[in-house]
Formats: sequence, C-alpha cells, structure tokens
Amino acid sequence: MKKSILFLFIELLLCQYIFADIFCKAKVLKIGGTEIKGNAKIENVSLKIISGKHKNKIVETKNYLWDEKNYNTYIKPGDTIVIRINETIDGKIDRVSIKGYRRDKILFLFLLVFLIVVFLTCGKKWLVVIASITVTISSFMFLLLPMLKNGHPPIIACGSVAMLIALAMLLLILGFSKKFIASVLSLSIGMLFSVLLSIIFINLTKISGIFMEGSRMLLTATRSITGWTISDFRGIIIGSVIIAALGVTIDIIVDIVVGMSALHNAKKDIARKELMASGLKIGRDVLSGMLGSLFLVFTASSIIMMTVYTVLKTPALRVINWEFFAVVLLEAFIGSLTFVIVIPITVLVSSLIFTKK
Amino acid sequence: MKKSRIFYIIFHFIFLIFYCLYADSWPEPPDYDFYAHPLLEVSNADDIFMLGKVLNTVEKQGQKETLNIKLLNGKIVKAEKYESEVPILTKKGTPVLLTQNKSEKTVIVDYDRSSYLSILAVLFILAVLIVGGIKKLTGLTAIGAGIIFVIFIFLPLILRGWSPLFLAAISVILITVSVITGINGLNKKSISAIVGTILSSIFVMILGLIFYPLANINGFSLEPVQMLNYFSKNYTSFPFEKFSELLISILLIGATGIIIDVAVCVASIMEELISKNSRIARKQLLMLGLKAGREIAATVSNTLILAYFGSELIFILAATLSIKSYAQLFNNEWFFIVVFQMLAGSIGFFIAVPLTALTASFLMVKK
Repeated sequence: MKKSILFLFIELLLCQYIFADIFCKAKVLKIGGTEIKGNAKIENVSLKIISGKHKNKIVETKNYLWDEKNYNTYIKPGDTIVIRINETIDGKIDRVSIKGYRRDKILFLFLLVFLIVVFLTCGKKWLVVIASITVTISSFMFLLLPMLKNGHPPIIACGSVAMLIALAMLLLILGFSKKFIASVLSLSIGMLFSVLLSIIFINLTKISGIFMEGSRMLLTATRSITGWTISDFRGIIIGSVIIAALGVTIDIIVDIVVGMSALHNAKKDIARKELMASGLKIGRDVLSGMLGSLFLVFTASSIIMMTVYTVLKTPALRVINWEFFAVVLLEAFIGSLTFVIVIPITVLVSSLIFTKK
Repeated sequence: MKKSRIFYIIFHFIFLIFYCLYADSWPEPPDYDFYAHPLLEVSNADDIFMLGKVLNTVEKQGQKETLNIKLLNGKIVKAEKYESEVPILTKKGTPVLLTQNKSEKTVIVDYDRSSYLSILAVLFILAVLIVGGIKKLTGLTAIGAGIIFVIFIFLPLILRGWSPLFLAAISVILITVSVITGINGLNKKSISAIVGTILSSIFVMILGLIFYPLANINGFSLEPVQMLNYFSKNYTSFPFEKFSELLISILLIGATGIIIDVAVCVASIMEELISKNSRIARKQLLMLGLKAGREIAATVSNTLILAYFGSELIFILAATLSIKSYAQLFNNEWFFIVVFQMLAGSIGFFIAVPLTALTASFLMVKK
C-alpha cells in the first residue's frame, strides 16, 4: 500500500516535471545526416534558440519523419520552428524536441486582415465591433477558462461569464436605457429557460458528457488538477448550450427591442396590444433568416466525426443514439428553441416596460 | 494492496495516453489505439440495432446481467448487459439500444436517446409554428434538407475522392438558394441576397485557401482528423487525403447560416427603402443600405464566435489545460483552426453587407 502511494507520488512529481516544459522558437541552422530506423527517417538537426530564457543557445536534436507524412514537421535550414525544451531540475536544457511549424506570424497576419475588413465594411461602427469581439474573446480566455480550470461549477461559471458578455455587448449596442433593461430581463428569462430545458433533457437522455471530443483529455487532466466528477461534465454541456445560443439570442432581442422602442417613440400613446402585435411581427421577420444559423454551425463542427462514422459504416440507429451525436443534436435544438421562445418573452417584457397601460 | 496497485496501473496508463496526445514529434509511431476511443465503437457489418424498453431483470451473474426487453414491435427478448466504465442503469421502462449479431445473442449497448431527441425536435418545430407561423417552416425544411444533403451526399462522396471544397461550394449554393427562396420566394430581393451570400462565401473560401497552406494546417492536432486518417486508410479503398480542404469546407458550411441571415436583412432593408421612395438614386440607396447593414453587422459580430466557442467548449478547455505560455498557444495548430473558423466566418458576414447592398442597388434601381 505504502509503496504504491509512493510510486503514485513520484509519478505525480514526474508528471509536473514533464509538463513544465518550455516552448520557444528556434531557427534551423543545419540538417546533418539522416538515418532510417523502422518506419521513421531521423534527421539530425542543429538549432539556434531565438526566444525564451535559453535564447541564443545552440542545441542538437532529432527530427522524426514518420511514413505517415501528416504528422511530420518538414524543415530546411533557415526555417523558424517551435521546439519544446525539457529542463533538468537545476534549469539546464535536458532534451529538445521539435513541436511543429511556427504559426503565430500567420495568425497575426490574419488578424490584421480581419481588422482591415472590419474597418472597411463597418465604417464608423468598427470600434463597437472590435470592442465587442475583444470583450468576448478576452472574457473567454482570461475569465471562463481559468474559472473552469480552477474547478468552479461549470453552470455557474458559464452562466455568469455569458451574462457578463451579454451585458457588455448590450451596453455597447444600446447604451444604458429602457431598451437595455428590457433586453437584459428578456435575456435572463431566455437563458433560465434554456438551462432548465437542458437539465431536463440531459437527465432524460442520460448523457454523461465524457464521450465528447476532448473529454478524455479533460478527464485525465482534471483527475490530477481539480476534483471534477461526471456531474461537472454535464454542467459543461449545459454551459456550452448557453454560450452557443447567446449570440443568436442577443441578436433577436436587440432587433425586437430596438424596433419596438422606435415604434413607441414615433407614437407615444400607442396601446400595449398594438405594440405587442408589431413587436411580434418584427420578431417573426428576423426569425426566418436565423433559424438555420445554429444548425449549420453545429453541423460544421461535427462533420469530421460524421465522416469517421461514414467510414466505419456505423448504422444510423447507432449513430443517433451515440452520446457524441446526441449532445450535438441536443445543443443545436435547445439553442435554437431558446431564441424562438425568446421572441414572445421579449415582446411581453418590453411592452410592459415601454407602455404604462 | 491490490486495489491501489490497479489504481496505479490505471493512472500510469492514462498518464501515458495524455502524454502521447500532446507530443507532435515524439519518438513513438503516431498510431495509438483508436479502437478504445470514447468517440468510437467499431461494430460488425451484420450487427442489427434495435430499440426496446426494459421490463425486468432475470438474473445477475458477476459482470453479466440478463434482462427481459420489450421491443418496439411488442416482442419480448432476453438481452445481456455487461458492466462497463460508464454503467448503463436499467430500471423498468428505461429505453435502451440493443444489438443482435449472427449468433442471435442480444446485448444492451447504450441508452435509447433518439426518442427523447425526437421529442425535443417536435418541441422546436411546435415553437417555430406557434411563434413564427406556418410560413417559417419552409425555411426550416430547407435547412433540414441542406443538412441531410451534407450528411448523406457530401460525406460519402468525399470518401470516394471527390474534392471536399467543390462539394462544400455546391452545398453552400444549394442551402443558400433553397433557404432564401423558401423564405421570400424568387424575386429581386432574394436574388440579391443569394448573390451577396455566394460572393461572400467565395471570399471566405479564398481566405482559407491562402492562409491554411501558409500556416501548414492539416488538422492533425484534432483527434477526429487523426481518426479519419487512420480509419479511412484501414477501412476504405480510397484513403482520404485532402484534410486541409476538408477544414476549409467546414469553415464554409458553418458560416453560411449567419451570412444568409445578414444578406437577407440587408436585401429586405433595401427593398423597404425603395418602396418608400421609388425615385431614389442608386448611389443614395447604396449609402442608406450600407448604413443600415453596418448596424446589423455590428449586432451579429459576436454570434459566430459565441456559437463556435459553445459548440467546442469541452475541446477548447481540454486543449488549453496544459498551455503554459503564449509562444505555445499562438503556434498551436488547433488554436489557429479555432480562431480562423470564428473570425473568417465573421469576415464572411461583414463582407456580405456591401456585396448584398451593391447587388441590390444594381438589381432594384435602373440608374
């Protein structure tokens, strides 16, 4: 008993030691001789590290080229690549391995293209667009993911971050006004509805959440990092339903609220019933274009897995009942249902807020 | 003593898997065992799947349990259930999925989820009917037809060696035309929305064709792509090779929905502007349309980012768990793919505003 606990402890230490790798960029100086071993071609490479704390050191490593060409990193002298350095405990370089191509330059080039497109197409609105995208992405990166990693309950973490993003976006689009209050209220009701619906259907379909892309990785990682259980995986599916539906729901709410407020401004003594009727009409008009957007996003994100099932000739009945597919369908349907349901809710809430009688 | 040793072995095993998953250039051949993967189940071609409901337990013997199951057609069969890592809890009335192989042995493999999912689908259709009216169902059926096209025609054909990009372009055109004409009928408004959508999809495609090869993207940091590679090599006569093209087509199909949304909105605003002032000059109409379109684009700017982030939350969380530095994050392949999917799709609907406005102003006004 004691022995195995000791082993476990050593393993954990090892784990930390291995995961405390350093990733940095390096320049290929020259490629020495190659040797063939089994199904791999091994190149002896000498590299000059150009970033990080080991900058300007020259190291030797091996580049493994498998007969499976897609896993390989093909290099030639003068290329910049990303390497992974394993350090010894006293901070010296122990082992260097080639991690892959350098991509950050291209990524930033693409971001530049994105900024230019936004600037050209959005005119004066470009600042609002960039601000809302920055708020969204940074609250995911610096708030949601760290919160989930630290073991906060996923529903609460996802819900609160989603609410925060929604508040920021609505403030940017609408400013602080009656419209803002109406949309926040309707959004909260809509989100509550989608959470309830997801809880009901996840329990009915008995989804555990551990048969998803990445959940095996997550499970192994969380066993050593936080004390997650299966119920948290269910929570994370509910959280992803909330987040996926958030964008479409905000769109539809903003459209309705803005339209209704414009109507109310044009005709101050408009009756509540009349206002509700025209609000519903606006909602219906917007709805038709949006119905497909979530479905297509979810189709797109499951295409590769569907191709794998096609290759394996898995029968349709098996695929539909398969947890991965069930989760995709569940998320797409609940997300779409949320923004359909939110139309009458918004119409009701904003007519109550805008008119007195 | 024994238990802890098993735990140790399991831990060791998991640790190794985890380590392999993170190693791109690791001195081990990259074909680890996909057969035990939670996303898969390799079944025999002659297995028959069927649905049923649990009646009662007959006997329990170690890891094997025998149950009476009532099938959908009323027949009662005996089925076996084996203990697994994630146990299937069977009570009276639990709907389950059964499989029967050649030796007539019936085994419970999973819960029956399709019945509850169809309840959800019916709920959704009902909500659309009540809120939107029967007319909105045409747009919905068009989307459904598009998705069926993607699954039953697109996927088998790319496995026969057709170009995914070509098929994706066809499915985008089909989805766009059927959805827009389904909503509005065939008129000038629809034509300008269709032209705007297709032109912006082409723009997105060109972006993908430029940036993916530049960044050496083939998708092999994603588990499903590795599986596709492995199984198409071992199970089909045409090994699938166009991974980069497949990723671009995914990008296209995912962005289509929102591009259609924006294009339809812009086109209907333009039509409304003309109906209010039929003598409006083309340039003035274009300016007004652009101004209104920008409002729409600003509102939807986050939609695609949120939708993709939501649909891939588990994967993104798992993949970022071990990320320690920005050098590692920004150079990762999956990160590039995720960011590109979100932002290139967004570029698609930003660019749809001027393209649709331009087409509409040429179609709707003579001079």
